[in-house]
Formats: sequence, structure tokens, C-alpha cells
Amino acid sequence: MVKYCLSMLILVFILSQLSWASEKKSTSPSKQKPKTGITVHKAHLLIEPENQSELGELIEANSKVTILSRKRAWYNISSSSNSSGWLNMLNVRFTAAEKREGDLGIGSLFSSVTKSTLPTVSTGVRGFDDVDLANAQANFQQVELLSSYSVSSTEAKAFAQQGQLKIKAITVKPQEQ
Amino acid sequence: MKQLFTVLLISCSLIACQSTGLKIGNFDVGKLIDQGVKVFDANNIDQDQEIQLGQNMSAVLLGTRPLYQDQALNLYVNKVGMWLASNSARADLPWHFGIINSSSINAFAAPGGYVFITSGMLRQLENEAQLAAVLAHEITHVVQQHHLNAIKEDALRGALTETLFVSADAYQGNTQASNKQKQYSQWAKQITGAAQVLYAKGLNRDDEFQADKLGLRLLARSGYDPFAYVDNLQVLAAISADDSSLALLYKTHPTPNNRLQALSTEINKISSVEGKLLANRFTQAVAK
Repeated sequence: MVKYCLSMLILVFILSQLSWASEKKSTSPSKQKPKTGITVHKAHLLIEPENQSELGELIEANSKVTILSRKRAWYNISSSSNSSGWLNMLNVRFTAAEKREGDLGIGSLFSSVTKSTLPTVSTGVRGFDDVDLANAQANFQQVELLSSYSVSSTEAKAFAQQGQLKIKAITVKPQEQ
Repeated sequence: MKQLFTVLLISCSLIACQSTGLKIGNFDVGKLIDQGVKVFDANNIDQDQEIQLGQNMSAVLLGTRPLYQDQALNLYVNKVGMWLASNSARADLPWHFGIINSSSINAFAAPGGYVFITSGMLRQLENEAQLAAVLAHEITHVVQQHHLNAIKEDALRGALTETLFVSADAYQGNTQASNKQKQYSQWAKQITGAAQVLYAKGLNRDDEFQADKLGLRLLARSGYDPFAYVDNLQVLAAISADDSSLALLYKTHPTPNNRLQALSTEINKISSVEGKLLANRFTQAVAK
């Protein structure tokens, strides 16, 4: 009995740690499915994701890279020569996605849920272009429905607290002359 | 002619022409004033009028495509949006957020606190911070009154009609028009005309760059990872410009690459700021 209780306690502890780890603050590099990209300018890889970092290998412009993760404004990349390091995210452009539908973001989750009006690229929910706008009729019933979804600032604050979102005073460095 | 019209409106607002039978278009302006309905000048719009205008324009957007039929998901978007809006300079507005059911990748704002994101755009996102980035951009358009200023400029050029600034109820009360009657259709058509023009041509590029810059700051201030803003633009930049779902976005905005370049100074200013992505909460919300 004692061993059983101890085992359950250990199991509960482990599960609680896993739950915490999955929602931990994103000061650690954000994990993303690896994407591929191309560098915009020639630049040195950085050893650490910060401006004052030591420099690593020089990467030429238009070099192909694999983006492993991101921390703040830097991507952790692997180059075609198997070097790795950090590059400013503005110095990388993702290469074109081969196929958008279901591949990016939560698209696959949308398609896996059984709802009748799920949008997909190919199946039926229409686009929204200037021709559609030109043919539109004002719909005030939908505006009423929209109003029913509104939340108060109190609810929003509670929502933010649940996500551990905290208001930050953003100190912007003065623009250089 | 429009300047004369503007002067007439101002005069009427001073109760100078009660019950005179003065008509402008389909409106009996005197009767409206008798009923206490404001008929107002595009150059002098107060907050209530701004909200009415936004409601009218939202009706046009939702007449193009309806709301996505998922109450829980719409509520989630409202919570994210309201949190951001409560940290903006116009937290007092009656903010509304909605998901438009469309495969197009786009987002819209209307004066007075109306913000929309398409379900097509939502599909591209990976976490709550990226959703917040889209909403922060649109909230900034409202806070900076970009659409309102564009409409004021159109009014000065005589490109607007007065019907933008009267609610549906006021119109129906005045003309005893019902939804099915011709007059209502004509009125609704006049409202849609101005909204169609604005949403089809977009705002000027400087407004879009300002919405990116200040939207990025709002995102950071609200505790989100501000670099998720750049992630969004990176994803958009990687989608082919020929993709039809991006057609309207590309027509009405600077290219994602131009927007990334314009943001580079701002990004470098806040390079040490950290925040939350909330990928799990986002995934749970969209998977329900």
C-alpha cells in the first residue's frame, strides 16, 4: 500500500512537470517544425543569439539554410556545409512552401475536426476578392451575431492571467541620427 | 456640390431646418432631425458616429462572407483581441472581433473598433502570438483612425454619400422602408459602395507601415513574443504571390518583403524583449 501511494505520488509529480514544461515561458528557443530558407545578405553566424556574440562561419548571400528554432530575433540555422549558429531573422527568407493546404500552422487540425463549415483551400469556402466586395449586400444580422461574441476587458484580463501574459513597458532605444 | 451639401448638413444640425421637408437623396433630413437622429458631417465625426460608420462597414464585410460558424473559436479570438485592445490608446471603444469564413488570407478593420480575420489567415498561424500579431496590426488601424481619415479625404473630394453615417434603424424609421423595399436596397447599396472602394483599394502604404510598427509594439507590450510578428510576414512572403487566396492582400498592402524591410529598425530596437507564444493554448482552441 505504501509502495502504491509512493508510486502514484511520483507519477503525479512527473506528469505535473511535463505539463509545466509544455507551457513554459518562451525564453527558451521556440520549437518549430524545421523550415528551409535562404539568406538575404552575407553574414557571420553568431555563436549565441545576441548582438554581442562571438562570430562563427561566414555565410554567403542566397545560401540555403535549415531553420531549426528561433529565440527572440534570431534563427538557429544549419547551413548546407553543416555549420550551425544563429542568424538575425530578418536576414532569412523562408523558401516557398510546396503545398499550403494542411502543411502550415494548424491547417491539419482544422481539417481533422468534424465541422461542416471548415475552410480548406480546395473545398468550397470561397475567397474574398474585390469582385466579391462589389457584389456584397450589407448584412446587419451578422453584425448582431458578431456582437454576441464580444468579451469584456475583465474577461480579457482573466484570459491573459491564465496565459501568464504580463504587460511590459517597452523601452525603445532612441533612433540613431 | 458636396461642399454645399456639407454646409447644409451643418446648418441642419443647428436645427435651422426642422420639418422643412428638406430632402437629400432619399433622406428627409428635417424629419430625421425632428426624430433626434444625427445626420452629420464627414469632417467632424465624434466617437458615436465613428462607431456607427464602423458598424455599417462591418455589415458590408459580413455581407461579402459571413462569420465562421464556431462560437468558441470566435470567443477565443475576442479574448486575444480584447486583451490587446485594452493595452491600446483606445481601450474604451466597444471592440468587436470576428472570424470571416473565407479561404482568403486576410484581415480587416473598420472604424469604431471592428476587427476581422479570415479563417484562411487563421489556418496559416502556429501559435497565439501570431494571431495576436495579426489582430494588433488591425487594432492599430482603428486606434490611428486610418480608415476614418481615408473616408474624410474621400468626403472632401465629394466621393461619399451621406448614408454612411445613419444607422439602419434610423433609415427604416424615416422612410418606413423594409429590407425588401427598393429604398432600403438603394440605401444599402450606397453604404456598400464606399466600403467596397476602401477595402478593394486599401489604405495608403504609410498607414500599413505604421500599423506594422505600432502593432509590433502593442504585441510586445501585451506580453506576447513580438518576433511572432516577423514570423507571420515570413510565412506570407513564402507563399507564391500568384496564389489567389492572397490576391486581395497583395493588392491592398505592401509586399511582405517590403514590410519586413520597413520593420527592421523597429525589430532592432526591441531585440532584447521576450514574450510568450502560447502555442498549446492556440492549438487547443482551434482543435475544439
